[in-house]
Amino acid sequence: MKKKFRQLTGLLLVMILLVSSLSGCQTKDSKTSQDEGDSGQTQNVTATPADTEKNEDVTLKFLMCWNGASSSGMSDSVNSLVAQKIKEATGVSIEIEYITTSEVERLNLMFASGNMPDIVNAPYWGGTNAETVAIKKAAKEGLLLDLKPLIEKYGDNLKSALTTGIAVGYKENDINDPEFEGKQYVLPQQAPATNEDVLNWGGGLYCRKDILDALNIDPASITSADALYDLMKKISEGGFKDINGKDVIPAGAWGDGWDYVEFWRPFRQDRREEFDYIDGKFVYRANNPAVDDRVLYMRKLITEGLFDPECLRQSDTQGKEKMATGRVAIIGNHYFHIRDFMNSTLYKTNPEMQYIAIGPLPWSDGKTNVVEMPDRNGTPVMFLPSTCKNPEAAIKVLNYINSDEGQLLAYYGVEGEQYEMVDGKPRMKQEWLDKYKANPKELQEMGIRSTFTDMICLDKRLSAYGELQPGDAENPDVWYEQAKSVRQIEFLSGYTIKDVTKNYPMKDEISSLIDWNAYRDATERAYFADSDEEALEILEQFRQQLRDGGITEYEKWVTQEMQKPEYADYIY
Amino acid sequence: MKLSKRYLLRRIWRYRALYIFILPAVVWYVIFCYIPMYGLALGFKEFHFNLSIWDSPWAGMRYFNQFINDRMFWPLLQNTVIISVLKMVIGFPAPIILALMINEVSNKYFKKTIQTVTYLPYFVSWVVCIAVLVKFISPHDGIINNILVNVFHKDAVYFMGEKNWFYPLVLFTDIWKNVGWNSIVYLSALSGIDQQLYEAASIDGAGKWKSMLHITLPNIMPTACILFLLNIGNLLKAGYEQIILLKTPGNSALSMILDTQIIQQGIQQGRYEYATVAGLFQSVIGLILVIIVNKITKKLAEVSLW
Repeated sequence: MKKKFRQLTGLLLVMILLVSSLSGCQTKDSKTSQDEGDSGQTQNVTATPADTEKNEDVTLKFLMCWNGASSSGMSDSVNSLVAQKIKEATGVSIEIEYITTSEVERLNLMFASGNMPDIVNAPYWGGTNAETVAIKKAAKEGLLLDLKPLIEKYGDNLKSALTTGIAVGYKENDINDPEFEGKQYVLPQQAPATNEDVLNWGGGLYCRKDILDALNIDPASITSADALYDLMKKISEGGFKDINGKDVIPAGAWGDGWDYVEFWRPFRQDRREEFDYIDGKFVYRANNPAVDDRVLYMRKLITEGLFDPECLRQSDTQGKEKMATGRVAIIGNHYFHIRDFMNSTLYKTNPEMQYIAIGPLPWSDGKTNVVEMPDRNGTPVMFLPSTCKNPEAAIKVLNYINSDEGQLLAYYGVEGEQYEMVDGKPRMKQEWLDKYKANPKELQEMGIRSTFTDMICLDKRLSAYGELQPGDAENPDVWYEQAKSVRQIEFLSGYTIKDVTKNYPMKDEISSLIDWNAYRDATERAYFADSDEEALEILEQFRQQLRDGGITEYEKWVTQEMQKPEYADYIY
Repeated sequence: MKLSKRYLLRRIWRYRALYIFILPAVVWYVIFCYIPMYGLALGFKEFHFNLSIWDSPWAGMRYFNQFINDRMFWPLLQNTVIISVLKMVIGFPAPIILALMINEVSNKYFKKTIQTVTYLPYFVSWVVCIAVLVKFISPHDGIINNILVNVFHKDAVYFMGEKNWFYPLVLFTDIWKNVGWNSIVYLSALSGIDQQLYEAASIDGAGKWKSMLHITLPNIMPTACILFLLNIGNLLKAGYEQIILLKTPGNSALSMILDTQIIQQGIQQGRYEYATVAGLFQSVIGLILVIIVNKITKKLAEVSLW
């Protein structure tokens, strides 16, 4: 009897073990339905356009496929003030998901698994860029919806985004890739509505103002690599502290070295991506002799403790930790990123630690202006995966957000509450302006100037509102004005060299060779070499690999092609 | 033939309780290890998002050739093997030594505390482990550098960026994280040794050291051999999480390994075919090595997996 009992209990235990070990294997469907039940939201999904016209409740999942975008997001995208207003107008609620992995990884995973949201916003820089390649592959393989008929029917406010503010080459080859066969798979976002709206991002080097003041150095005097080095040296010897009383690091960057490329400016040519132009020849970027000087310069900075060696591969959090305490004296980035992050951290307690633009550092050819295309040659895009549960509702809600009313809602909130119209332009009420200046996050949580602005296709803030940020029109942001004066822009438009190099017959074979990361790895490895000679040797080894892989033929081909009369006015 | 089959069935029925015990493990392996093997076909297909692995068109050996002929193939292979061999030579004996030491401890509470403390890192993810390490050895405010600078008046060292520090860091973190967990098997092997052997040895005049050398070690040797055999299969897998997290520009000449290449050039870039081929390559080489080493140990030490 006792033995039998023991056997039975044993059997029972084994069964429990078996069941529990298999409990992870439930089907996807059952999991989703459970999730939906748990979320406690009404998911009255409608499938026909007739139903949505009655504005029945629809909840759409929106994937913000930008790593780090959550910092400008909101914790509740369904019940925030702006979301409620959008729902009142369209019947659509938008559940926003942010990613924490790399963009290309998420896109590929999403397409391969077929587990796709209803709307996606993702990078689409064009050409052989990895995200672009993944999105194009998905489009050609039928995983994206053709937006043309939908926009025709429900998207009057979206139509102009298909043609405005995007460079001609980008439009022809990427937005309307010939292989799409006339279908419209992606909707560009963030392009300027008019020339007035072309944004000067103020990308460059910034230094803590209190340090410059203490050293009595004019920010405009930093106009060469040597002057920059001297400044770092003085900072290092000056015994400056961060807000916790720790020694400052003279120079550094945010997570993953972003954007220390600004330190290289005296060693590179403006606007060059794959190719530099030297004495009538197109030279692959790594083959430019100026790279040697840059590597030796960076090596000097690192070995002398002037540049934070950790920053090149540090995590986003590590970077922010340093920035929030004013730990790094000189940083490279664009104005808005620095301002937005510091406003909610460092400037709150230590406004004297304002970061201001220094320079301009000239490019290797002596120019100081930055050449930009008024039309974007790469943008974020929105697209609808083929599994989108209600494409009509998706386009309708995007159409609403892109209406004048919708844009004001996303940027300023509700008229009469957060803002009022003054001479046809929105002006935030003082009470809300104070709140915004004190803590932008509070308004973000209400959905104002949050991810809903990432659903607006054309940026018309400057031309229509006269300001980028609330309050700017009355009190211009002096430091943005200063940054703009340092970074003067020269405009050029037309086709670019990218529109030629894409035709190289061996492009697939050399794609891993000319990968930006391979170039970055090799040069950065050289920074950490034991001697200058070893550093140059590492570069030479990399160049040998390039030559073995066929880079010389590629350079020759590009140089020959670019001499053809039809490419004479192409920008390079 | 028929008779032996009936005999087998009867044996299974007789020991049915034991077979039921093993059933969850078998089911687990079938579901998570055998069924997914059909995915290996992906390495020889051109994967389409809209088609299943089977329906995607065949690509032959294209991705395999791409992988083998990659300019980074040999450096990657070399780096991987070096890290694996180092882990095997230095990391493998560590849990044996720990187990032997724990076994000699007589105070029950001290023993339990040591065991718990050494097991703990195993349950912490690599991301957290390396994040903690980075904090400790950071050139800015890391405790190690603080001591170097303030006590010894030396310059701060960026350990993560120095290639000379790469292997010590890999080995240190590997041992720190796994030594406690891996010692469990040896502790159980140690507890299975017949106490009479020790008594007999002490009568013969053997001290602690001699007993360990002539009784303990030979008794746990079969366990060690089996574990070594199983480890050999992972020779080309040097641990992607750990290495990716330890990789910096300064040490990248040593830290680029097959696993990091699979993740960074394969999975992250959506080149699933390439990642599959590389993974298959690792496994096939691993299997061949296990078979060879199994043969050798069978001959030399009379220990084998099958």
